[in-house]
Amino acid sequence: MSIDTTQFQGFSYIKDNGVNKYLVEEYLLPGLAVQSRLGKGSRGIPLPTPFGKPQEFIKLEDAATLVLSWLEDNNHLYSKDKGQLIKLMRKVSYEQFATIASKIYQDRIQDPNKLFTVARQQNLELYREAQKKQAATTTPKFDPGKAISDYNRLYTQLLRAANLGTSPALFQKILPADVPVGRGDLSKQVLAQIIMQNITELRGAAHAYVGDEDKATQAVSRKLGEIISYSYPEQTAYLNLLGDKEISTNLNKFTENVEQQLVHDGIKLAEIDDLKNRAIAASGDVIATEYEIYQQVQSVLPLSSESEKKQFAKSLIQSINSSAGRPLSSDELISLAGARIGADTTQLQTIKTELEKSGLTFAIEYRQNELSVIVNSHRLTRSEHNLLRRGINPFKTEKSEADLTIEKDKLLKEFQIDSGTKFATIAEAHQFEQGRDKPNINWTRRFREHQDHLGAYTLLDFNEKGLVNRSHIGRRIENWRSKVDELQTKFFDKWVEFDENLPWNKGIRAAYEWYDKLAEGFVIKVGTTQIPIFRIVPWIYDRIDEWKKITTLKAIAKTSTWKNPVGKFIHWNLNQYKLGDYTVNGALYSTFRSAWGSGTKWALEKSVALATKMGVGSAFKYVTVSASRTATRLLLQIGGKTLAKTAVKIGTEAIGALLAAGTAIGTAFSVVLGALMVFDLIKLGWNFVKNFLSSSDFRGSVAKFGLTVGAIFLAIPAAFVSTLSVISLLMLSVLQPVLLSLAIIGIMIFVNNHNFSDLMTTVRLDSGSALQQVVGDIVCTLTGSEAPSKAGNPKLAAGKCVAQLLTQFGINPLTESNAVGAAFNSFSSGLGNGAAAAEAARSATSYKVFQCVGFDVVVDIMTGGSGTGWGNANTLLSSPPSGYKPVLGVGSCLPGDFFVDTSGVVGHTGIFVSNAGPYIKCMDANGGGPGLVRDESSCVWPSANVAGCLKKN
Amino acid sequence: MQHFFRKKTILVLLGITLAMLVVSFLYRPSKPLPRVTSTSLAGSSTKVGYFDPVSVRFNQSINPSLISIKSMPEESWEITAATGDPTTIILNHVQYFRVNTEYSLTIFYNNEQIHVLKFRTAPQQSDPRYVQEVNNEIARDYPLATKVPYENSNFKIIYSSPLTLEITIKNPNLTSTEIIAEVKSWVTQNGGNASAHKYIISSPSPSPTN
Repeated sequence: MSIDTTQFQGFSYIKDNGVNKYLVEEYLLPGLAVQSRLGKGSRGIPLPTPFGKPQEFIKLEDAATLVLSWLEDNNHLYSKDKGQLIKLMRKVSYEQFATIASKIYQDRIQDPNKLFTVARQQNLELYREAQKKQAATTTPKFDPGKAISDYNRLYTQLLRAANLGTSPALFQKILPADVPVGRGDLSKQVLAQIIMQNITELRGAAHAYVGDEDKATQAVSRKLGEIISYSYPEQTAYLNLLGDKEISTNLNKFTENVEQQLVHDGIKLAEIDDLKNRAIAASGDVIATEYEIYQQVQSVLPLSSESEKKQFAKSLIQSINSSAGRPLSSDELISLAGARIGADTTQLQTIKTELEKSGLTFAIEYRQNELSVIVNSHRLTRSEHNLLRRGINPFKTEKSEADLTIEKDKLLKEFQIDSGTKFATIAEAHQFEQGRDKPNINWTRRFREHQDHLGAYTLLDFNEKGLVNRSHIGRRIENWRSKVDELQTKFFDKWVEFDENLPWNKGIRAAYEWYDKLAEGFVIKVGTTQIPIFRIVPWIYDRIDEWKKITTLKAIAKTSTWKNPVGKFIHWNLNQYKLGDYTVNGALYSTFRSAWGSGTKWALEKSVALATKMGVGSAFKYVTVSASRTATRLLLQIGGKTLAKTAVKIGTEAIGALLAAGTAIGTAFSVVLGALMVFDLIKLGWNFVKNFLSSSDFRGSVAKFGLTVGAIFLAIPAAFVSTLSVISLLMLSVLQPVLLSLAIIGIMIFVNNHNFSDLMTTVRLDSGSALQQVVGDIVCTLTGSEAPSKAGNPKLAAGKCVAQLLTQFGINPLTESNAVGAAFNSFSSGLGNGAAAAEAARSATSYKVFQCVGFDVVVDIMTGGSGTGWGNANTLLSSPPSGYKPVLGVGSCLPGDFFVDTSGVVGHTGIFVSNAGPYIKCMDANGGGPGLVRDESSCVWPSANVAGCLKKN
Repeated sequence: MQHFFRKKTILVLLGITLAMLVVSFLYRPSKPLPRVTSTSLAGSSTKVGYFDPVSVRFNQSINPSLISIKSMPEESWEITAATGDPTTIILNHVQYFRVNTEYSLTIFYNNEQIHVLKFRTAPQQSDPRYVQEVNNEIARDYPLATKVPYENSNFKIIYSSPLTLEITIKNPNLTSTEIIAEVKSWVTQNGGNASAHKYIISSPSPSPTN
């Protein structure tokens, strides 16, 4: 876009693709973080280089300039951030630069894939129309309203490209109908959305391997795996498929076709991503803040008294905050708010209609979903959690009311200098700025943020303010802890500096430097070959590496025509070797990836990348703590300036860069590191095995990911012997134990790090994408004559739907054995609610068969409840779940309530349908047989045994 | 005399031989007791399903009638031979196991203890044994519960008490006898035992008048 890349045209990737998110996220930021630790030892940051060409490196200062320009150009920088980054550039503190730039990037846009969904971007335009408020505030480079409109126009073109450039048949091969997709409700539609929303990154990954189709295919599927792992954790089961050759090949083909069509239409990929990022950044400027929602809602509510309006608006804000554990739809949020004030159905419907008309439903849902992303990515104190539960946003009340008042005065004074006018309140200053010819977005943002924070206090009563004040104490302790950590780090830094200046260390360092200098100039010529005799080890590595590449590629070319099975087998092995960066462990990884689930693969990718370069890799985000410790210990033992700093501050991620720098220390280090890491990694591997064998919970966790651990244990030697034995014997077969450990650790990292939370797709605003036309219809819920009769009662409809779908897919009764697999996946898709389906699976697997309480929870989640606080059946009346109140006696039960029988050891529960005298008609699970779900056609329960019912609050 | 002794000796020997023959016909050397080689539940299993039957495999063919079971807590057991496998028996518990309970099963062969099997049943959030009792009670007292209340143009029926159907006549042109006959027919058609039910007629509530 507008980044001036003229001086960077020498770099192939930048010349062809410009500076984009992929380059910044995958190369520049990690490169700055890692390479800066090597000081003068760094060659620069390696960039994606076309196949067969010499590796290209970009200088650190150039990389930082590009990152800064890109962030600014995409409007991710506030003025204060820019100043801070420039200051760090001047100080040549690139590591800190990378850390702060990454944080800014994450803070500004959170996770676009979770917030800026396809449907939402379209609804954003509708919202702006409904609000009749084009954002007039701009900067010379940025106009939020235009950014949103531009991207929406572009997205229409993208859809067109997807329709024209691809065929449903090709897409069918990416998500075959008969494969299991695990817990998530991965439909073609959802997968297509994921791919299209991340098309730039996916093609960016392919472009890093120009000229090498196999590697490009591998890179695209890996990238998609990373995107799903990070942004769509509910869809991680799809990772299992990504290693499949046919799927990954067709995935690459699909993205390639789309790209070709876009090129034909004159659209650049980088442009899509940049426009998207700008639109995301613009969302916050356009969408009403919490406090603005509070104010605007009151002006549109069809309620008679002002106090009622205020009460409802406050309840709505409380509902937004208290439900932040997971994203909800605006419909659900308004219902929750209605329930808080006891609004009846008619009243609630009228409120919904009015809020819909005003467009505020969009803002309500967006802000709640945004908060849920923030809550899930921040560490809150206990008292902050408590605030959230009570409907108070701890992020808005982080500063005290007194501090905000002081801040207000400072802000107004600053604005007075800029505007030449003195204002008494922020609202007046804001209004003045909006009235200017060209309102400045930086002022507007600061005013809105301040109003939002101070406004949060106006909603609180005396007791709530007391709670907020107490939470500040907790926050201060938490901050104090962080400061102690920082102090500890500073102490280590100081210690390193002190250690550096010890005479003997100075001497050692001088010796190293002398050695490096000597090594650079001391070259022996043997014929045409120049051998740096004092850097002989890295030189030998380089030669071996070259030799491996050349001989492997020659062999691949030669064997490509071999048709007999043995010849094909050899050719395939060689290809795996190539795909594994010409290393045995890389090849083994590649084999694993093809053979098994990609949850394992993803972790292996990271772990084996470490092994590939003796514990290294540019994937700094995923370095293991354990490996880090190993490296740290080792480095401390060796000593020296670069190493000692590295040792205290970082883990293994710098080691690769260190080796690449080819210093004397790097040479020595590479020799020792291997041996020590083998020991540690094997030890870690053993811990995993021990844990796996001894803890059923741990095994359960692993199994939930569809990781066939038994198969892995068997397949490691099997795959190794059957497919790679020839190569492994020829090469460094001694690494086998390391590989085994790495594979195990990889799984461990994956299992431990993975986010288990279920992110429900919200219902109203986030559905019905135009992409449906690309990939065809999906089965979502029962339709036509099979559809349950809602009759105005969502719980009855939900219960019936569960019963019918389980029966339809042949898994009624639902037990631990059929709560996984294709049939269950179909059920999950049919249900249209991943969290509810996950609860059904959890109940069935935890208790061997689907439980009566599990059935209630599923229905609760499907009808907008939190699904929390459910104990055994006989405790439900004495300790009702979240959002419910107990009523006693069967006479108090109404259709859709949950009936409770407290008899027996743990009682029984289900949905009350009607009273038929001596018994009631009901829906339940585990009442007609183990795990069997019954609807009202077969479920009856003695009225005399019904102790009472649970009603919605 | 000598002849007599010889004769007597012969008789004694014959008697002994005969006795030995008789004993040999009557004597059955005791076979070694069968040994349990495996069970469907590994020893000390936990989270055993409350509905799971238990299968026990022996080292030899087994006659289920010689097997008896004593369990703590007490259960009623049905012991059957496994289909196609004479070395295996199936122990069916008539009622569901108690949930989250430690069970100890002592297996006897010919009244001799041969094995003890211990396991713990899985916890549940509802009580299946109680549920089973409730279902049995409903099946006994209200066998057509899932189909009742029922209504057609002539009548409406509900259960008013166990095995008692209360009939509301909707068609005034039909007599009580005719309606009861029709209801009985409906009960039979729906798998119920018409003669086991009682039928009472309730008069329709008077329509509100202005």
